[in-house]
Amino acid sequence: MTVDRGRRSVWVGMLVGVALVCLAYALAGRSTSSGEQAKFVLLWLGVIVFLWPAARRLANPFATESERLAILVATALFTYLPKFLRNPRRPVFYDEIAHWIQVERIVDTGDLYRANPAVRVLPSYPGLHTLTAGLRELTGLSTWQVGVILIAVLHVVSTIGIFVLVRRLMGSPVVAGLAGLLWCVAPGALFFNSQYAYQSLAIVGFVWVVVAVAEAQAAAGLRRWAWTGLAGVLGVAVVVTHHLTSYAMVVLLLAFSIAALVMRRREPGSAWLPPVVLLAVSLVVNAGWMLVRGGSKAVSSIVEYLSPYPEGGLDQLWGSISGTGERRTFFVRSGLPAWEQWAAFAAPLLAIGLGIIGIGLMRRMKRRPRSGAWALAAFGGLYVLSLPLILTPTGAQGAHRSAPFTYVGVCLVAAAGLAWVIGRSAESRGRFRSAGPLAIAAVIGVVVIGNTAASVNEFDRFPGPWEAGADSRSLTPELLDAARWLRGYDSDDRVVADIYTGTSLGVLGTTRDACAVAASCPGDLQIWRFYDGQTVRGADLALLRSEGYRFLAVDRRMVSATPRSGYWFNRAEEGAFEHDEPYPKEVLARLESFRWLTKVYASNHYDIYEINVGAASADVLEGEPGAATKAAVAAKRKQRAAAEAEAAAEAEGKEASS
Amino acid sequence: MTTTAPAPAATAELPAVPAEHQGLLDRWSDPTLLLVAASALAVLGLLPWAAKSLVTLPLALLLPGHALLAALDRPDRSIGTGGRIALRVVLSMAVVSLTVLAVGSVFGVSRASVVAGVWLVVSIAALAGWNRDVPSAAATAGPHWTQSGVVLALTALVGVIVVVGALVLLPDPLDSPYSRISVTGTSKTSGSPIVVDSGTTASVRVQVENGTGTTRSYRVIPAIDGGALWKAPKVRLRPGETWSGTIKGTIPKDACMSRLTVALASNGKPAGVAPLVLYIRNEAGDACG
Repeated sequence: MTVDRGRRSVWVGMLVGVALVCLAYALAGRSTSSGEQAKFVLLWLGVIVFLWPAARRLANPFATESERLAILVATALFTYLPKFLRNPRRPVFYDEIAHWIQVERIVDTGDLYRANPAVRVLPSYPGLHTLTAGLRELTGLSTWQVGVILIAVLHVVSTIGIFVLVRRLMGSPVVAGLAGLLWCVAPGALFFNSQYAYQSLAIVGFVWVVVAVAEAQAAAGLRRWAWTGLAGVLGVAVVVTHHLTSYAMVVLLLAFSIAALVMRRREPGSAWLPPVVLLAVSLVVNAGWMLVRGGSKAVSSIVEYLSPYPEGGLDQLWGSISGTGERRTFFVRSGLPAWEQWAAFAAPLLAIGLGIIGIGLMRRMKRRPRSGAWALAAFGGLYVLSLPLILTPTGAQGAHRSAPFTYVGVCLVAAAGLAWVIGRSAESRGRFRSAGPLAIAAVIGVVVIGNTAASVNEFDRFPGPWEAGADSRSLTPELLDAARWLRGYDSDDRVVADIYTGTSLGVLGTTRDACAVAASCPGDLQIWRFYDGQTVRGADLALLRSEGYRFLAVDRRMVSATPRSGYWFNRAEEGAFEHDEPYPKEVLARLESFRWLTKVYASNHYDIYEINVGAASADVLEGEPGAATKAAVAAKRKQRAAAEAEAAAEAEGKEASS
Repeated sequence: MTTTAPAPAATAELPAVPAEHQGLLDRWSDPTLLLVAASALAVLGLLPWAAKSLVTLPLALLLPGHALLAALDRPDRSIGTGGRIALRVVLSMAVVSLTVLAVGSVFGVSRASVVAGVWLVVSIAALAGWNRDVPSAAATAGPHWTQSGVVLALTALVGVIVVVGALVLLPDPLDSPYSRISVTGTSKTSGSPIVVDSGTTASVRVQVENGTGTTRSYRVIPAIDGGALWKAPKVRLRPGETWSGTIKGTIPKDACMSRLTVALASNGKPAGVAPLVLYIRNEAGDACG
């Protein structure tokens, strides 16, 4: 009777949860302002209403394997629901747009390695594009339809992968089921890894490489080598799909190799061979792929792309420890409610707490976990080590990027801990017995809310009106119209614009392959000079001409808003993260007086100019047309500095008097 | 190709592995069946109908991985059915991805190269597993619906309803009203400045779009610095409608470069759109030397 009720509550919870999540997104889609609490409450209520009974059911030792899998499949699809509802019709995130256009152009031209107009390393990792293009050709669906279906399927198969892996390593279906559930709410699972982007595919390959290694270690004879071969095929696919995932795979294979070698007496039959062979293969394939994609140039490109996160993060971390460096201010203009922000701090602590309990249990288990379980636990330790980097502005990016991988290890140990907590609560009597289920709901709730809040702000999470500095809120019908109109030129010339406007115009409005958008690869061009009122120098115009720029676009809301991200163009722009006031109105109006700019498109918020430096007579370039505006900006800066100095003096005075 | 039950020796060498799973996945590993399925995928893949995706998508997501596992004598019998299906999907994705990468690098990506590549890989895998043992129908359990299976099917139904409902009922959150004026036609393609070779009349082709969601009247108001007034056309546009037309007027005789602004008014008020700013170069007279 109780068993049936538990089972029923999962599916009833799912139906109610789906309805609540849909309601949250319907509300968000109709709202005209940001920061409304109702959508947050409905979203998380919906998620917890399903996940809570699901966790309890998965922790029930009498649930059958088919029931566990059914719950996990439903959980995987359910946790994809928020991202699906965020933008069901078209790509809106920066990465999604970049990948989508890459596939479109591959299908149009047949050329696999075309440069990408938005992300320069992307053509070196065509795994997702070849898969999507292949499925597109085989099914006749559109790129976006294939992408949406792919991501939903990937959610399901990665969750089942975690279940199979933990079941093999720990031998417990309860722990395996809970690990699958934790994987569905891991950092980045709800949004970042649900985007149509290369990591979303590669991380699934990564999980199944680990499954295949664990199965190879458990098997014998030819079957061991068959599993090793399967892991090899999956590993090659990972290498050609995503850089970071392929490096994470190497690290995890190293951990598996070390653990297997250390414990080789306990696991007879050369169980250490598969991970060691695969480690060697993955190193060779990684190096080979780098060589194929351009040798040292490809290496330096990827190093340049990835290294700022760990390097900058460690530098800033050391600086903040020694008191000389920059510290990150959390959740600035994220639009998230305070309780979500607290959950973001509590979630890693809870996961660590559960993990410690789990490790304790692993040590006491009668049937010792396999060496792979210890390798995964050690790999999960990297998640803990990466947490201090979250305190720094640059390191936080690195920590958020690595967490989805290292959380595979956290899932294993934390699931063991969670199983123990749920088991203890069920066995106990008195108050703890009734409080136990609520505590479990709280734990699940804090973990899912915190892991999501740590990486996704309000604007990326919910649909809504245009927001300054939020790329996922920038692609409006108005901007789409501008891009479509620009496309009429059939031009491969470059576009000068802020990054939010420029991405859509450059990617959708031009035929250019590489660096269509000035803001994503400006070179020596100081883009902000055209927008913030500084003098436009002859050198700037010379760069416009020599670097192939033909269009300059303006979002006129730059004079009424400041970017939430802290920058209009890129992190390196002058005044990045210091935009506390919008640009003065005059600075955009002055563009109309430059005779090397012809305004050929105007809508309520966007102006597009055609740059024609060659046609402008020389006298136009002299006389600093921005001088008046420059003076106005300087006056404002002076005013602001004086106000700040006054405030500081006042504060000092107060301190002295007290 | 023979159909027998799994050899006891094969299981005896795996003491650490739990009971093996044998079912439809194993019975359907018959190489002939795989070849037929690969051909069906190829033929359907070449057809232009969109409805083919109902068959080709599941086939593309299962068949290549299934064929590869069959060629390797199904090492995945040590894991449960759910895991085996998921493994087939992941392997299929890897095989399709790597196949398209290989054929695309040599022949370019096209429907023919993709279909041929996938067909070839599946066929080679099927032939590689030609001598593998495949269990007979009697040796494997038939398909049976578990309670969880039924619930999962209902979950899938809920998923389909949610997807369709979201696409139909949820508002497109990106909708926001706008009006637009731009150059079009030859004025767009010939670039700036607009050159007048003869006479003193210049013309510009412009386009107005009503993206406001309601019917509106627009007036296009051209104004040239130091010149006579140009005619201001008036148009009435329904939501989503565009109008293209030519505006023309005289340019100042003695100016080499003249500035033309084209403003937009809507329902008698400014449309909230900044004016176009165009330049006209007078090469008909002596103004430009």
